[in-house]
Amino acid sequence: MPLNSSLIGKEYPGVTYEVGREKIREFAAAVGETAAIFHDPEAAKQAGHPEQVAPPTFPTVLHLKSGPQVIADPELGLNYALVVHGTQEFEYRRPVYAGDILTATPRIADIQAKGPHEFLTIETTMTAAGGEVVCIARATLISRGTAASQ
Amino acid sequence: MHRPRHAHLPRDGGEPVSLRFEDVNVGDELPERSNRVDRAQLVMYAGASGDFNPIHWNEEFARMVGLPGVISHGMFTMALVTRALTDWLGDAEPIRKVSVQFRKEVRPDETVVARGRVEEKDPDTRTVRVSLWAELEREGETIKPIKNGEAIVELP
Repeated sequence: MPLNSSLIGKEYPGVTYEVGREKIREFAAAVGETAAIFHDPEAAKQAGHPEQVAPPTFPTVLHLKSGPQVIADPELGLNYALVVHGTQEFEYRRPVYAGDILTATPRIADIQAKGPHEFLTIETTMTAAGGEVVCIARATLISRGTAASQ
Repeated sequence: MHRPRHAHLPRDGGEPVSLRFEDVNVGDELPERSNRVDRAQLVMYAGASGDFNPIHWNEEFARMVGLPGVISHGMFTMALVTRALTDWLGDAEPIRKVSVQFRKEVRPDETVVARGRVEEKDPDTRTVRVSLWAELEREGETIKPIKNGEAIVELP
């Protein structure tokens, strides 16, 4: 069954997440980011940052919390067993810092058939207090073999 | 907007270093970063990221869904690639955009080598376009679990 492409543009409720110093340390250690700015708020401040810095792919922690409601949307008709992660993009307005309270709001940006597969793009905008956009994540999920037959 | 433009601190606590636009040339290769992926790393990454999909830690489940065994999180491999970028920059702040394509799975005990090259410089915006990819050796062949990656960085 093809995905419901009438949902292109649908926005889902935002999920709010408080970025903690220890969570950044844990994430940095897991991915081998050993630079002091990712571990030590004082080192980060000496390097000109307002706070401890999160590694570039840290926003994945947020979209793993905001994304399930899209994937499980019964109107979309996605069978997660057929899904592989095709591409991932992050666009940054600034780094994520410890102490940020970010709201991740996902939206279905695109659904496109290419051959037998469908490509679902979920765009997640992460905003800080006051609506400041910090990061936009775009994930393309490949739904294998679900395109309408030609 | 706050945009630090000072020297960055290196990991060893030595003299601050700062990669400047003028220091970078088209064709420069990023220092490559190798990581042998072990199961403990995948479990750590599952906990740190919150991605508990059993294909990354449960051998039996992974085989049941047709995989050769547990595989790495694509986002973990991406993080290894962006680590090559942050190591080269000495910071995460200059990164405006980073994107990757996931092409092949990574299995435990394989060594992922993250690489990159400077492709283009724009003096008007002081931005640099860097290509990024990841390689590993499997059965005598070089395969690329991540291909066509790209970053745009803005340098002081």
